[in-house]
Amino acid sequence: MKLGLAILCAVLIIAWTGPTLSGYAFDEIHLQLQNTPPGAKFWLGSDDLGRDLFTRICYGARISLFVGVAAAAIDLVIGTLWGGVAGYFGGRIDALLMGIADILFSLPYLLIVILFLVYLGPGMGSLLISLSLIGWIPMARIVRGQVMQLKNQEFVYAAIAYGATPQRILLGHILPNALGPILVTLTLTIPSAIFAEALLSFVGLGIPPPSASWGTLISEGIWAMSYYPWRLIFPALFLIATVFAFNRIAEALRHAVT
Amino acid sequence: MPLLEVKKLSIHLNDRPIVKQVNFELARGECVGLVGESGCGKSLTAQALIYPFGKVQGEILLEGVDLLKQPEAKMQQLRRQSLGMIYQEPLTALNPLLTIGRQLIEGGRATAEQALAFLKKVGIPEPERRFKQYPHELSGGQRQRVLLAMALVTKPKLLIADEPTTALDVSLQVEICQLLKDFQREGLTILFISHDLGVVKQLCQRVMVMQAGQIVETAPTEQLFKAPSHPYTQQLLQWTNFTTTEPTENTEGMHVVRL
Amino acid sequence: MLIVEELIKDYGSHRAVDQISFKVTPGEIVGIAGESGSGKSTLGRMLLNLLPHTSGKIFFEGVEWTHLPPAEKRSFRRKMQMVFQDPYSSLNPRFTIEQTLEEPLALHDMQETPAEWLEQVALPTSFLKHYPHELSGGQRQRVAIARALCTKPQLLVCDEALSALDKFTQYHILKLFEAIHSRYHPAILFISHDLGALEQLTERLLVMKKGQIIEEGATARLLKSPEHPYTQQLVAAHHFFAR
Repeated sequence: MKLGLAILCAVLIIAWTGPTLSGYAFDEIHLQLQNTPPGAKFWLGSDDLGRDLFTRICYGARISLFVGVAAAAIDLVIGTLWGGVAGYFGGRIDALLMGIADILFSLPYLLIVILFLVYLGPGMGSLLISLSLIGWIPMARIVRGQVMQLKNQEFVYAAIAYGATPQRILLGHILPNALGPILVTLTLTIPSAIFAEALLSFVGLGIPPPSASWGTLISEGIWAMSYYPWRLIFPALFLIATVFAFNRIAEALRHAVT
Repeated sequence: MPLLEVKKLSIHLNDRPIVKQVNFELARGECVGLVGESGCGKSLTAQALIYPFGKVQGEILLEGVDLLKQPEAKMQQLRRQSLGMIYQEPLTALNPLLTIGRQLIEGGRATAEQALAFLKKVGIPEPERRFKQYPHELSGGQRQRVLLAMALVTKPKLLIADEPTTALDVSLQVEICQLLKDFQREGLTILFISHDLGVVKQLCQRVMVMQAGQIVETAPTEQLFKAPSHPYTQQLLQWTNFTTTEPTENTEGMHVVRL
Repeated sequence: MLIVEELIKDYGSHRAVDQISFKVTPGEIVGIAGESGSGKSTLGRMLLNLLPHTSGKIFFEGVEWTHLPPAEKRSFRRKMQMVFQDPYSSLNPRFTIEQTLEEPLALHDMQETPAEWLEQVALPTSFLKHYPHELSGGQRQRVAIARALCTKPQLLVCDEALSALDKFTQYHILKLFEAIHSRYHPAILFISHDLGALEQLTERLLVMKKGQIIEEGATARLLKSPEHPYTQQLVAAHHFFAR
């Protein structure tokens, strides 16, 4: 847990203070200094337009983390409500809601995302929408399971007995008691969203240039891999470290909660 | 020589003393009851005989051998051969994925024939059929009988029973009690932990009363119930006598409430 | 006050409650005896409409309230409450004692405060800020009783409210029920497999077996000279351990 938090904090600090320290803008072009290896001028090297890699990674961190957290937050809200209602009411409502979820889950994800993005055009908004298309489903399933377990607890019956409304019971009694697994799932959704965004950017469907997320940087780095390896290594390293950190935190939370 | 001697047994949980300097003996073939309120330490004491939990000090001498000082390998042998334990909740004590038969003969404790014979002995009808069944296919009372069979199939010298009848209906309690009496007649020594004085009165020859980690009174059953000497025992007896003739108008149900 | 007619509960092909009919008058203490599997807990929950019944009618003060829309149902729910068996799951683990008691009080605009109800069940008001896991089983059960009393119900259904407690705590909680009855006079429907507790508390007794009422009558008479062989069996087993 501590390792995870430490890495995450380090990444965040670097992401926020980095550009100020380096003095470059993320899209500052230096055509005479293309593809410089890491050194005094460019701490982690420069890319084929002479832009400072370090600064671009820092901005990339902001984008990737923001997308990751935002997508996870959307998944949380949709998934919790969907799974909560399905689990609490059971029967036909449950069958209907989870049936829809199952169908959505079985569709070819990338294909649908491509169609969406082609239709909506690139940008942060469309990216978030596409990431949230099916990201909420695992959360919904977990929440549904928890709710089904909890709704037979006697304190729920007691609340029904003194006349609490189903909304109150679901939101005030049941969901707070399901927080443990919800939290763990959340901390796993974030890295998976970051990774998904990296994937989409990698294939060119993500944030348009000159902004760059880690995925875009990695994608650019792959082309230059043989001659200018730093352009691949550093963005990839940051991505791996951050996803690793989140996974460690999720593990620790799972141990703490169960 | 007594079968079991417990000397100055103290058990701490999270640095808090739960069992404090407990001493008692069990003679061969006796059935002794250990009673007290929830939280007094009786289960912890019983558990220490089989698998100590928490920080344990003192001596537990089974036929002269100190159980607390034995290496784990020796303890496993002792547990298999000389000790048996049954608990309150039969459902969680049985592995739901194994048939009854498998669990009885597990680890080579008994052969299939011995296991079958024992199932019959504890009064399970159609033992051959039950042998192949899973725990959830049996009723609560039957499960408790199976647990009894599992504990006794290796013919241990001492059976530790931790509230085995508490979760059962009264008619089942009667049957389990009678079963235990039968086994006792064959030479089994029983330590019976319970908060139900009615069951203890029927089953045990001697009763030990535990309060807040200490044994405050030990006496033969009849004497304890007729003429208890310790004030706590007297209070306990008063509290279990539901059919009291006292009028109840002004009873506030006030009891010293401890956190 | 409470009239139950031909109540049936089916789980698929298994009939848990089989054509039960009985009445409870205001202020009466009625016991329901039976072993596990007799359907008594299912019956208790159906009376409070915590479980839907398959067929039959439940009348409270002359109204068949279980079929009313939620808003009207709520005013009936206020009049009957339940004390459950398991003190470990009948209180929301994330609510403080104060929050647990506040909800029913606020929902029905009651004047009393949580502190007042804690006093009624002989618990110190310092418990208000504590969580259920910090209390013992007996203390939790007292809180559950306080919660049930918050709406000042006319009917209190106790579903094996003593069974999860040790015998000594059972005595105190039983005495608490007696005190509550003499103070507030609710009708009490006491469901239990413990004939001793039923003998102490109830005036009238219904004996259930496999979903049916096989005998009913005044408690003292029933326990002294039971007529049905099953009742005789239960009483005999009870006396085996009696003091």
